[in-house]
Amino acid sequence: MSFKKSLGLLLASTAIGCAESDPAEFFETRVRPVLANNCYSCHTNSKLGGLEVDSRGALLKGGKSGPAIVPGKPADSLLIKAVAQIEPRLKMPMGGSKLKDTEIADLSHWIEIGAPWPESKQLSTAVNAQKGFVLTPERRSLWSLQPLQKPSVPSVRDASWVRNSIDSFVLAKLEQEGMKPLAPANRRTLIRRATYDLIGLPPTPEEIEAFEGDNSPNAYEKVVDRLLASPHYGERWARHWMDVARYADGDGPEDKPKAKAKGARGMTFVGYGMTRDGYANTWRYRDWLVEAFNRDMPYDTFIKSQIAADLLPDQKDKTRLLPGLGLFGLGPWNTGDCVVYNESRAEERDTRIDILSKGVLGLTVTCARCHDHKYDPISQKDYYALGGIFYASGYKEYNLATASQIEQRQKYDALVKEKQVELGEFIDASAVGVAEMLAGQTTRYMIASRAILQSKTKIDSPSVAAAEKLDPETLRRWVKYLRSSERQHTYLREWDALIARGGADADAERLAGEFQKLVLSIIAEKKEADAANNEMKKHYKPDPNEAFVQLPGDLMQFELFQFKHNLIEKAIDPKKYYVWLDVVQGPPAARVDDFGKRTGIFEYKGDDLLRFYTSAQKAKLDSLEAQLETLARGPAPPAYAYVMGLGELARPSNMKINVRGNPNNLGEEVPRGFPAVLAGTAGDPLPFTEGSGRLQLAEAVVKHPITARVMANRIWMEHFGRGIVGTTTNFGVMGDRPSNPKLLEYLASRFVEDKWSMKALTREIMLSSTYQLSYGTAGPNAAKDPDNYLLWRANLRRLDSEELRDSLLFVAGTLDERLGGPGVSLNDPDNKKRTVYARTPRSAPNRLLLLFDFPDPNISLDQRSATNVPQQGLFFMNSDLMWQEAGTVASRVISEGDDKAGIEKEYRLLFGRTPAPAEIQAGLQFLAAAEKDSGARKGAWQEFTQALLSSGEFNYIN
Amino acid sequence: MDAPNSPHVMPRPMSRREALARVGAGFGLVGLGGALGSSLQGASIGAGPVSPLAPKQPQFAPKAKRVIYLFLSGGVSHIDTFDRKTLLDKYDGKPLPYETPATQFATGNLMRSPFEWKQYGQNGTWVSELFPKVAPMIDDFCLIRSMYTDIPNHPPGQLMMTTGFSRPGRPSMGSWVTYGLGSENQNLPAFIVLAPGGDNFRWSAGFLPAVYQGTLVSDIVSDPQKQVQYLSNSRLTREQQRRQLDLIQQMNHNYLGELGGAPELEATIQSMETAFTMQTAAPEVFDIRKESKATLDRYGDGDFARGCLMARRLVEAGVRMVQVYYGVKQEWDQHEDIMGHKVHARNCDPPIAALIQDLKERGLLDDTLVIVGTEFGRTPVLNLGGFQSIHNGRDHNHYGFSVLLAGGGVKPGLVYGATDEFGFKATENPVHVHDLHATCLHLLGFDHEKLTYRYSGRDFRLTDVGGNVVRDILA
Repeated sequence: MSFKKSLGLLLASTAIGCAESDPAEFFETRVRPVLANNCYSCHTNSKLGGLEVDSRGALLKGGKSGPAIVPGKPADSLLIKAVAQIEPRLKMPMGGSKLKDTEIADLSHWIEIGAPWPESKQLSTAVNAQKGFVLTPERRSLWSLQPLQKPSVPSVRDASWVRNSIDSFVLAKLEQEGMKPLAPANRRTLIRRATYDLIGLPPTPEEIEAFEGDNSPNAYEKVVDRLLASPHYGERWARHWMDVARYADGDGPEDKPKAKAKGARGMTFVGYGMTRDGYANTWRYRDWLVEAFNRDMPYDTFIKSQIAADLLPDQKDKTRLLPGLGLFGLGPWNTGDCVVYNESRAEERDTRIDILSKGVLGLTVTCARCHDHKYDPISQKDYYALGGIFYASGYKEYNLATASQIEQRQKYDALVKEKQVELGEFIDASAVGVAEMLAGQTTRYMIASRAILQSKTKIDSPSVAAAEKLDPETLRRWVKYLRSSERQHTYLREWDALIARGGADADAERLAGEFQKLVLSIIAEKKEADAANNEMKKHYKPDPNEAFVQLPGDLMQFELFQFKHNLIEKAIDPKKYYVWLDVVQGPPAARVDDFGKRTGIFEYKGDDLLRFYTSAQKAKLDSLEAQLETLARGPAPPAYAYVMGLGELARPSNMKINVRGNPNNLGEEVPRGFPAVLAGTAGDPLPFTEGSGRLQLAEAVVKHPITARVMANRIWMEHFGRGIVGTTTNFGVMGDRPSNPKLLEYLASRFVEDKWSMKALTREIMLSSTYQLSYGTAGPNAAKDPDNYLLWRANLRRLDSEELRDSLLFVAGTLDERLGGPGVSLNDPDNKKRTVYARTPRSAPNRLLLLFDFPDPNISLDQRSATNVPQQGLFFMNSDLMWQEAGTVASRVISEGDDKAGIEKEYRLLFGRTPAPAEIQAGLQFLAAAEKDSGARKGAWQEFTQALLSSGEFNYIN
Repeated sequence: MDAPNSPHVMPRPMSRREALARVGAGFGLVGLGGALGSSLQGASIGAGPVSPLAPKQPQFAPKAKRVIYLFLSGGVSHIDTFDRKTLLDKYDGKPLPYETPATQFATGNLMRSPFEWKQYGQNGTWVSELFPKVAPMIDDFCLIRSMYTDIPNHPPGQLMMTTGFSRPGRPSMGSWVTYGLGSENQNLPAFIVLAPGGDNFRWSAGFLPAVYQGTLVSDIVSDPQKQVQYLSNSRLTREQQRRQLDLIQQMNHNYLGELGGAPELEATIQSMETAFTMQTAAPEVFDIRKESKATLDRYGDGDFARGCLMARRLVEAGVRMVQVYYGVKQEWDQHEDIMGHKVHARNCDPPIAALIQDLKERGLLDDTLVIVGTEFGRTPVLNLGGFQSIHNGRDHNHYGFSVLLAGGGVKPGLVYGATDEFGFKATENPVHVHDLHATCLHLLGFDHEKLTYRYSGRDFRLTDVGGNVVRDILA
């Protein structure tokens, strides 16, 4: 229906029965109630879109899009356009039912007669009194929250096209618009599409040919079933879920566990989430996902395990499902921000609510963190009811090893550490001892240095050392130090002046003697301060009144905070410290200061230090080192595995509303529970009282029909490139409406009927005619529905980052197809495992993956994008990966002396087809020219292969 | 059942762009269509797909067309650089006369600035000896002395200054700017980050399409081939590569014909060509070794100097936003000994001065906004906690710090706002980070409340839910 036509109809109906009414009465009885009931909730105080509709002036002024009404001209009035819902981007009332035609007609008429607005303060007061969160029937009527109702299958004219009910729903829509679906895809295209969709890899030539030659009626069904049974299916589909779960191997920036900076008391000071083992167990969650998909774990169990596996009543289930807790256990944990303890915890909770509400429930509950949701029926209370569940659940590691294994390992670790500390302390102490000993000779070194510095002839420093019985290296350092007069301290000012003017020996003796005294006193002072500080740290007890939270890596967040931040160590005077740094010990390696790495004049390490050791010291060192070596040579008890998850806190408590989202500004306490609109309660969340409430939450989530809708839509989206609801994580007021509502209802109902089997739903989708359509953009359909909302054709898509890398390795025959195990960095050239197993630190995802739209693991993703930038072209042309794999592919197809055969073989391997004569011709020409330039047949083939691997036919799926 | 409000499925006016969105071409238009009005939509209507980085018009006439954001990581002490407090000399070693605001570590008594100060410029602006080259040019800058932020710790503070939010996951300022404006040079990334390394957090596109993320280019080395990922091919000559690309494109055109049209593939064909020319265009731009010795000397040596010089070359070439980080993490973080500021100032001062000078000489300063920022200032009181060997440094101070702006429509020679008499808190005309961002976007021609992107059910923006344009500093 065109805009003009529909408006004409509206205006036509206006005249009937209204024209003669008294304008004021007409307004009060027919207009104001419509505005009040449908518009005021958003367009009075909160002024959405900048618009208020509670006065004539406000309507004339309008909002961001301009005046809402043009008196006398309903057709030009945005208000009418909006309520008539003619323009897709301007549909009012948002989230409510469309106004009745008679109501729209009344509004039009009112504008037609000049939009009179008699004053009446009474009503607006009544509206104001309604402020606050109210679950009106309109708000409850949001489409996505309604009970599932499996629709009857519509009848269609072309029944022959229908393979299963999905097709009936699709075709009914197409026929309604007078459209016909395209022809089915050919078998090569179809098996390629199906193989990528299900296992993320291309089909082999043999698989393509077998399918092309299979004349049995269920040939395609066999392909789908084979793929669903492949262990690679889980790898592909787990990755889809990992996008939602914002999977990352730890929060830290490093690919590998970071070398621990030694803090006091052996504690590691952490940045963004370093753990004692560098997040060595994150992959257990990923592997659990892979297996869950492979075993077709029912989606309700899948979700329940990830929320509350630890609380499931059945002990056997519990063990099997426990790794699912990684959804929330893997983080992010904001371990670096001990300064803002409350904020950090609030953010952690928010990410969990976000994953749960958007990823599973398709609702943007986190919008209600600071205030009631502006569009959806979610109150701020609802948010903190959910938040309370996570507030009452802490980080927990579930050990997968036996108690004795754990004990053995911990004992071993403790022993290693003890020995390391003993060795370290011995070396440190002996080094200071050496420095102390040498400091007693400061005067002699300075005088000897002066002789060298002031000599007119070049004097050899080692010979002076020998003559004076001084350590040559130490003397060399002294000379170097005293040669320059640029220093951070002023204690040598007189000395420097003396050297410059060449004063008397007696003065030099005196000044050197004074400096020696100073150095010795500084050493004593520093030793005393260090001893006092060590003592203080040893006796440090955290304030029991402060909050604690357990985080990965045995860290007590607040303990660290108090300890490091509030403990004030005894410090020596800065000027004296500069002398210490110059003469005794440079800044510690772990804390190289701003002036760079320096070594004190008397500081000796390693073999240099050994020169000064007594035989007793040497023996002690040997013994300590031998003990450590024995330990290291092992056998060490294996590092034990654990699951990173959530656990119940001993005393679960509720959250208080964070006023305006500020965790330090607390309001009313909210019982832990489930959002009112989902629970069907009057207005307050449904309270959960069993422990943290996680198990009750899990049960409630899978009971709500929106959960089935969201996942059915997501599975659909992964096959067609777009969900039936385009906004896969937002089924709320601001989200898209389903493009085919009945189809979505059907799929969601089937999903639940089939005991939440993801494979069954996938299978049904893939066996439909709709899935098997061919691609094409020409013809009358393209004019009517260029974006294929109605699914008259297949969609084209580019390989995503994982498919791209995996395919390259696959066709080269180098893909390591072993399943599971710890993540390996993609920067490791020997890593040939599937990309799903790449180690993914949260702060620094791999750059190659990012280039092809790998999602930021800080956010829960709705859908991958496929951006197109020239740097992708650079990757194809210049990356080592492309060149290497091209070389490997080339060596697979190259055959002695026969380039034509090679080209045919390569086309078969890469594209699953025979090259056309023109393609062979082009290939031969290319190879000849390339070989002429490079002088090498292999090189020419490598260039040729790289081109084929860079082509659209390899990188797109149609 | 029919859902209430089921949409008119056919046709949806936004849908073509929406479909293109998933392949990148024209992507920026999806979110912007509503925000920027018809001028932008008009630009997008054409035969072929429009690149998401194609230049776009802002909402109103801009003063600045590009941005160079120099970030001095670690927390520069304002009271030792650009915000002189004579009372600190008087009260040196004495307690702060009012209750000491909470910061990261335990703190002690007041400490005077150990550096020499002199007055510069027409207003006699005090600048310390740490910035001897910037000091005589102080009239080229607008100095904001009343900045404040939310959290006194580095990662959140840096994220706040670069993404407007203290946690990872939001788009960085450069992402917003390129999302709004595209870029003038399609052969180079639109948003380039020059740094020795560091976390992706600070230049991530967050939920914006990945095409708007910052491209990290290392400034540890001067060789462009080592800086830009996959930029060159050491195995094939240009002729060999051209032949290879011809074959690829021939295959692509065949495939396109077979498919009967595919905007995504057309875009790929185009971007492969762009990539090819980029191989020669990009090194030209990145290679600072082409600069004269005089210029190189003026900028000095080190990562930051190289970064600043590269930044000038990049904006000259039409790159929309360049961010240069001094350091990987938090180099200006002198808890233990404020004297350490000397080392970092020596590395930062000459390149900043040289960059401004250079932009001026080339007539670029007028429409290039230069920001010299840091995540927070430092306390006028001594830092005591945190296991320090000596107590001669300052703690983080999010209550007050200084930022320098230059060019791009800011008032030169202006000193704006003030901290209290001890330099602890911004008191006169306080400027929050959101205000700074709102002002920068204003200079670029955007109402910061209207440069939005819908994600997760709401319209996000760089300034979150805050931000006021600081009109007083606009030229």
